[in-house]
Amino acid sequence: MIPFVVFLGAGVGGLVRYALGGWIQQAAGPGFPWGTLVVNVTGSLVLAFLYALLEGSVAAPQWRAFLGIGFCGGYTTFSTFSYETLRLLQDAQWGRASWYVLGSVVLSLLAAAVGFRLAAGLLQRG
Amino acid sequence: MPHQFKGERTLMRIFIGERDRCREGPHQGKPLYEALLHFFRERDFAGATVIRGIGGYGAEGRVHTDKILRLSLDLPIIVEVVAPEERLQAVLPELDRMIDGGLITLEPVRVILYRPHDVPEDERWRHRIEGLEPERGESSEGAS
Repeated sequence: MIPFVVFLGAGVGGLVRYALGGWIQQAAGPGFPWGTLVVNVTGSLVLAFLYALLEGSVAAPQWRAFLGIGFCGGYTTFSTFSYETLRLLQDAQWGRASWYVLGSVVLSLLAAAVGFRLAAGLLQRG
Repeated sequence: MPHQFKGERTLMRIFIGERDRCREGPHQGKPLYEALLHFFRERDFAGATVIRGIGGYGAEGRVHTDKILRLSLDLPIIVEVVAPEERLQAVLPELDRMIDGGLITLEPVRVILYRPHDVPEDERWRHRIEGLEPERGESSEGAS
């Protein structure tokens, strides 16, 4: 059961990334990997939010597997981040590469903290 | 005879995308660049080359680049064919049916070399790059 919901969640997450990432990247142009950045930052927020929320409630572990491991795992992409950073470095675009690495790590961490806080706030009120 | 191919010719460049498929004809549904390659080969054109670009945009204004993974799914492809102009004109109706969206250009070119690999020594004079000085000891018929 758990592997199956991971499979389903990853599929849905991957499709959402494909659609949203494509839309953002077309709008932003080819200069900077905005699509991947937005996907990774929002995914970090959603995962921290969901995990904090689901762990603090009585939701079945299948939900954590589906949303956390499956959906967020399929949605965010570390491998794309690495590849795009490498391509920026290969083209000697040091500034953009640095902003991409720093921005991805710092913003994703901040987003995760915000997601965690949001869930904690919700649980306290509930 | 390959050496007869030299001289004033026309270069056709067909700009398409990786994901384009052949619209009609015997190669329908195949990747368009493969279909075009087969098509030109079946028609005994002297040669065709497929080149893939690393970035570009087309009539839809959508940018493609291999640097951003998500934008790398439909990179540009150029199919180049050199032939006498009338031979290219003759296949335009079929190309029109095979290609969905794309760009085709024609430009005059001068072919100065067209030779296969491993030409025998006594045949080599016929396959020299046009305009080069004759080799020493070369027979006078080589100049004809």
